[in-house]
Amino acid sequence: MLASKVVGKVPRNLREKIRKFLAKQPHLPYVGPFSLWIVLFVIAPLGVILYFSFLTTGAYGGEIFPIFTLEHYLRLWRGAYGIILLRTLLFAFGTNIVCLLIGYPMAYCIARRGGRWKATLLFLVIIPSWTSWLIRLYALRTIAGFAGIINSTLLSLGLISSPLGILFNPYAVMFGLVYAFLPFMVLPIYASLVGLDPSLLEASVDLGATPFRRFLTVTLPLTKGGIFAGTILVFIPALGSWLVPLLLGGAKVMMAGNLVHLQYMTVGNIPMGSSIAVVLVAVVLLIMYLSIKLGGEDALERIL
Amino acid sequence: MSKRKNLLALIGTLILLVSLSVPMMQCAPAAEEVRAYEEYVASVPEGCFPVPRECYEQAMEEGELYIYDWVDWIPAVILEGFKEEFGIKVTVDPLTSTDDQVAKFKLNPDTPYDITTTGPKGYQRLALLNVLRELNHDWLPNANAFMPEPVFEIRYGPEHPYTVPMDGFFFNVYGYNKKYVDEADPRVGSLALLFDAEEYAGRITMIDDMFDCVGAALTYLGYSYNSVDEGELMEAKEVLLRQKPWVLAYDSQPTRLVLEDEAWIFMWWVGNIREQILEYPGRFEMVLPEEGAVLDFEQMVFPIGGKNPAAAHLFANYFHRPEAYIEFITHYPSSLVNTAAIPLLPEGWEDFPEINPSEEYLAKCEPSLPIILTGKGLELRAAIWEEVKG
Repeated sequence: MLASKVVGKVPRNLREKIRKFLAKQPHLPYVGPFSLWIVLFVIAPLGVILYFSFLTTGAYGGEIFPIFTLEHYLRLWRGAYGIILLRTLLFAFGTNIVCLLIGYPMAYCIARRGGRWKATLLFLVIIPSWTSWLIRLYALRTIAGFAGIINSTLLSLGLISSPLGILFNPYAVMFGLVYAFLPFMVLPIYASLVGLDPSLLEASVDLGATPFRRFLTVTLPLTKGGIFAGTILVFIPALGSWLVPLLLGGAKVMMAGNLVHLQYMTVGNIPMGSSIAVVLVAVVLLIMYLSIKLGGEDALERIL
Repeated sequence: MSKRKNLLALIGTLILLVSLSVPMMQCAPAAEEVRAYEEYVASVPEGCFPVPRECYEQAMEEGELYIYDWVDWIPAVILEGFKEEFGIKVTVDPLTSTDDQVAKFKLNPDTPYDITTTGPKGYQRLALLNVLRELNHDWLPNANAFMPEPVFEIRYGPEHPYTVPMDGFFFNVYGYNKKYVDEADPRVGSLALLFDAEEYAGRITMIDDMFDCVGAALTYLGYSYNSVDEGELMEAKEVLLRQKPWVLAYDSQPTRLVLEDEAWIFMWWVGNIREQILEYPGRFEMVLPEEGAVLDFEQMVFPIGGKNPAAAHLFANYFHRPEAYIEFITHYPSSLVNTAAIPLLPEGWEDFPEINPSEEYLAKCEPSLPIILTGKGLELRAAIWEEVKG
């Protein structure tokens, strides 16, 4: 008895230990259920896919043996798969750049020159994303087809003599991706531009900066949070896109999503499909890490 | 005082409940009496055959049917007729692709559908997964009576205990738009119009299916659709790669592209092409290529997970009644597998080559075999397809 009084605060049994631990985590009841959800519905399925990617397949892609193998990952570097993955990265990166080049000026004009039209213009940017994604893609097919609106107009104006083949090629896929993800780039950049302290800009003018210089050295660095938030929101979905290459590419342009679909469904080679998925997730995690590191706290805020 | 009020309220509520539920009890299914077997036999149309007693009675007990069917495939008329005549509740789930169907059964072999309709490869892939129930042919007297002889060898009967064929289907078929394709062109009528048609670059569509594209290329080269020879398949790959820049899109349902004159030469399903020809006379024409087509069957199969096998047999038997079958075959015209329905065909339909193919053409055709779905056949085709599409 005397010894326990001397030792005092050291926890005696498991219950004490748990109570002490929980006392240090006041946020647990609020974050706990959410974390559980993440673990059950995000981490666990990813874990299953990771597990599958290391299994061996039999002759008919359906037989899977629980034998550890790296053959699927090795296959990724050979043949057509590497090209498809590179192409996917290229498309996603290109979409990101184009969205940035179009979206930043848009956001800038709305934020700084919008005046009383700001809300309306922003509304116009957001509204198309309320329509079903699939319907918009089919609408693009109708607009851009040989007999579509674009071609008919150009033909009737006499600017071209035969219809342009603007659909069912890689450019159409890129266009579809940019069209889909532009609002996601505009909004975070807009948010960070609006949060810009105008006195900073005034100060730079007072110190003799030309508008161009002011943009480069003041505006751009201060809005990098918005840029990187937009990157996360555009690059990552573009990486996994499946529908756009299928519909707008005429199933002739294969991106990683289509390859995974081919492996899972047609060939039935689940481990191979899983390995591609794992590589994609790894890329996603890398991009997120880089964006948050470079974009800082601001980027995290802008995403939400 | 309040206790009595409570008691009165309670009694009143009970009376209300009882009086409401009595009419409901009278509306219960017990009031709809199940027809006796003899009545059913008497009501069967002339020329058709009823199922045996134990099948009928078990089906009446089961009372439900779950079908996993291609979108808009079995016409609603047949389903409604079946529901009305037998009082069996029918639920249909839509099916959009063979790959989805096979994936579903691969992940859950006990998926509780009683009937699912499959294309030829769907059937073979499901059979390889061992998820199909063996049929009781005694319970399918209509099909036994009306199935044509050749079908008995290929896809029905004791040696093929899993299928009830619904129609015959030609693969490697294509159509063309008469306005833009010169019919005097010697390539019309052969697969050369698909694979050797540089002038039509950007106006050709192909079905987005690995086996059909590779198989069509093989047939064009004179090899078998079911080839697993590496040399032959590599040649087919060259043909497909050469064709790729001329292909507008790989689309299995190019309806809009065809109707808007965007695709002038389209590889498509026989029933769809005939449907467009009938709806827009003079615009399109169908070609069964002279190199030969693949003749195969679409069939109903009964998954083992299904809980209502007798009802499923009853439905399959009902389906092969000539009056019901003719509704089906006129919906998507394809080769008949029901001899009793031939006299009921609309005017002129017996002359359609895909409905009533000639003996000599049939000699040039071959069925698709399971060998292309596994092992080397599948791997080679998958490698080719990845390279062509990638």
